[in-house]
Amino acid sequence: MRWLLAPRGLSVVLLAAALILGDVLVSGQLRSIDGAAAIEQQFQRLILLHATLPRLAMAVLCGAGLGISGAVLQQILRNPLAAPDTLAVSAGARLALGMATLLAPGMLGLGRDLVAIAGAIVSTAAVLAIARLRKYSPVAMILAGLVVSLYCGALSIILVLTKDRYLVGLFIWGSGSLSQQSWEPAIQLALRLLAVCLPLFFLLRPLSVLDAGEEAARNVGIPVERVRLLAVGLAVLLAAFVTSAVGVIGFIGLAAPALAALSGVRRFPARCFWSAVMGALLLLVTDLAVQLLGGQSAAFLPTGAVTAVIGSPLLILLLSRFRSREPLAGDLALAAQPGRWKVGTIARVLGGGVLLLGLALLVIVGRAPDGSWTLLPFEVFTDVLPWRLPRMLAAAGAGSLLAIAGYILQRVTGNPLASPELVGVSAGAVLGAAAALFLAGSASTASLAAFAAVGSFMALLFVLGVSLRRSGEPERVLLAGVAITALVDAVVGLMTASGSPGAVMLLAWMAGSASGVGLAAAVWTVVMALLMLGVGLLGMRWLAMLALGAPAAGGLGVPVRTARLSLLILVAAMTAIATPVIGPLTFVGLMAPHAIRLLGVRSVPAGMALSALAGASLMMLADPLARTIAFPLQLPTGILASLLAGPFLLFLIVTGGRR
Amino acid sequence: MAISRRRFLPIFGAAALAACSPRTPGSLARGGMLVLDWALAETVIALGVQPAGVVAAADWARFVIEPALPAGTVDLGLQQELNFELMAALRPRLILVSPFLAHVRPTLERIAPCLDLSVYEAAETPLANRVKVTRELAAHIGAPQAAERLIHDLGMLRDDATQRLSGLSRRPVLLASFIDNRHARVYGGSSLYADTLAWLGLDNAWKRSVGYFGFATVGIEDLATLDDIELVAVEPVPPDIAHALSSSPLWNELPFVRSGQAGRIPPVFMFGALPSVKRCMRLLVAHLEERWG
Repeated sequence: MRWLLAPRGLSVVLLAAALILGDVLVSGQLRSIDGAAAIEQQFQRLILLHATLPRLAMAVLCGAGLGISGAVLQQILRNPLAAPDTLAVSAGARLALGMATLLAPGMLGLGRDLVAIAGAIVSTAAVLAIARLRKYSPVAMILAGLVVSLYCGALSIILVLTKDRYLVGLFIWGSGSLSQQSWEPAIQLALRLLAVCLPLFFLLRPLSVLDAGEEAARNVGIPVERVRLLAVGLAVLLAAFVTSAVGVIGFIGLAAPALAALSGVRRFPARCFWSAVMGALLLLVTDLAVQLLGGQSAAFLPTGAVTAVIGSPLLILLLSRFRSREPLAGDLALAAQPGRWKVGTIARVLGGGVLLLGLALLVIVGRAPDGSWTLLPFEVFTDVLPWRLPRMLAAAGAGSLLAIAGYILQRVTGNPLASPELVGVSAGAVLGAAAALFLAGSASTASLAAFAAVGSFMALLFVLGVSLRRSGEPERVLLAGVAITALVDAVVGLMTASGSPGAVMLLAWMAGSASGVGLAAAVWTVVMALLMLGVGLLGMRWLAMLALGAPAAGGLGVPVRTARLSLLILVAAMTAIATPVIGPLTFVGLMAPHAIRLLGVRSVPAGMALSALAGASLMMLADPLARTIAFPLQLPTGILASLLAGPFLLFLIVTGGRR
Repeated sequence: MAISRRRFLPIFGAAALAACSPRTPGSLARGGMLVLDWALAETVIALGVQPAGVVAAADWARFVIEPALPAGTVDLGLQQELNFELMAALRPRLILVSPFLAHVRPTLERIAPCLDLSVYEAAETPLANRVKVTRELAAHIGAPQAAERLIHDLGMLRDDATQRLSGLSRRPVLLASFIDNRHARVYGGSSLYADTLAWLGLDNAWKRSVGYFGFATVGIEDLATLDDIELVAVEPVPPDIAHALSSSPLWNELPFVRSGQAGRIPPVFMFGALPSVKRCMRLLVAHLEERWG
């Protein structure tokens, strides 16, 4: 019974906190009853009975549901950092809600929650279908979840931009408010959770056996694949029910099982139980605090965003203790040669340059003010070209910067999945910009850029701290990125939901500002890209050696610390230059180096130069599309690039990067 | 690297130089006025001037409605992602912007002179601020008489409205926009509509604090009050709100709900200028007259 003591102690502390806060809240409401008129007393009782109490019940239910869901997912994925959000549950639900609100509002009448559940199921099914092709390997599943999440996010942004500028509801939903007006939703959620927990109960034993390893489980006659799939389905359904009832509640699904595990619970059924308890108590305490604090100010404080802001540091804490339970086979090969310029390589670079020039010709394709497709007529050349050319140049420059950054990052971290976007360096730039807008109160372009650079460098340092301690665990770096990205989402959600004026500017900054860039700034971006490529090439010997691993590189005479640090400073600088131009979400930095590798390029200088060309090409393809497809609306180039790159990325996950 | 630079820099450089060579001034007639803010756009139209282009014109008919956008007004794209090349191709003579576009103003100045009018100042008297801005704008576009007429008409409408409302049994009015089935926006403080209510001599039922833009986002349970108020929901109203409210025992027990003092009016642009005030007043007074008469 000793293992019970620790989680008991922890939950007693949380329970005490909940009781104290709850007492303050409820007694505050009851105090106004004493001495008030009878009708006033009755009114206060109504509020307590039909708004305050169902809200607290909702917090308990949602926390418990997410806790169990997280515990089951972590057991199946063999990964203590897996959570409902890792499988794109909320991203799919959000996209479905947005589509229903804008395209078929009548559907919401049938049931807002049903729409959200359908969306969550579709997006998770997509993740599972992709992961299935890789035999549900944990890395493939997490990566597929991340890509599908980001993809749904990009589609949501396009939807909001093109269809409704005032889609406040989606932002509120995305930051999880627990506000209640009756018991009906809570009772409905309780019944749904119960319906899922019953079959889950019968899976507890087979899932526990998985602790002994897959082979052992098969030997005692457990159909491992089927049990896994069923359990993942049920866990996702739990999270989908919660999400559909109250919106996105960040990090509870991750934090609750983590707390249970940290307090020493070893057996899986016990971990499920304590995850439910911890989840319920965590969310309850947070929500009570939000209600007590939020009552004082005019700002609207959604609980889900608050849990996400509190939860990210917790995730960071966990990352430092993270150990993969199962050794992971090297997923994507990263062989590289120090290499020299060969004839074939030079031909390829030349070919890339020619392709780039061909794409540059797209600058004259566009649409006339009346919307018809046209090649730019000569009379308006001087009016239109000063706008079109710089934005294409800037996008190309930023694309190649991110591609070089991705190439270097993948080699330095020895991690084929690293890229500025996925490991949260771009998100760090956004956090920096947000800090500039809200802490310093200033919003000049220069100060935003400076803060963005600092933010991306700090994010990079954090990711490095995580990844360099133990190499060969790609998902550690990815999850560090997930933590930062989630923090950014939460901060942006909080700002937007509270209706602060800075949010308008932050959203504009995040979308990227390539559309209004001047020629000088555009040329500067391109020059920086070329310069950084040159600087990066100086480190080509280091890069080739580092890919062999730190000990081997050290043995070959590479000053490992200096080499890593200087290359990473380069990456942070490049990301900070590129992010304001095309936004934080492009996938270019991940995609371009892999595309080049799939072409069979192995030498470092050729790989880096061709990656830069590939990044530039992708952006130069995205730019004319962003300009024209929704005319007269122009879409953010970075978002469009990510939509173009997404399918390729999924192909990469499915094939494992092998040809 | 050397090769790629050699290939694409000079070519782009040449193209860029060709593109950015100074245009011959006066060779082409300058066109109309572009308006990048809806509150300014509705004022311009009310002053009798047709703007050549308006930002996010496609959404106008859903949110602003009145005055109608003249046919042939070009949609200039999204506020966050302005279609600069389209604006440049229209060769405007003036661009009207709000302080929210201050960060792109240097960019816009490359197309045409800009006039920055601050409609959303966190002023104590938003209505008086709108009147001031209307006069300023009218002076710039040479339509001062139209402005005085607009302001005068609004005053007449208000006098007529207060007279019509004075004979009725009046209650505090709670203006709300329902966001989804659990949340709403309420207006107070420095919002244009709280000020309009006050101008009409009506009492605003929302007494608690609001944010920078003059509204607060609240859970629907926060609308609960024992006071004898009149709830006016501004459309669009989510399709599932009726069910959410009718299934809430709390909501159904509220005195103002039980006596049926809740209704809705057609959409009104909540961040508008005088024409929106006019529309709001007309719809609100007609609605209240029907309820209280």
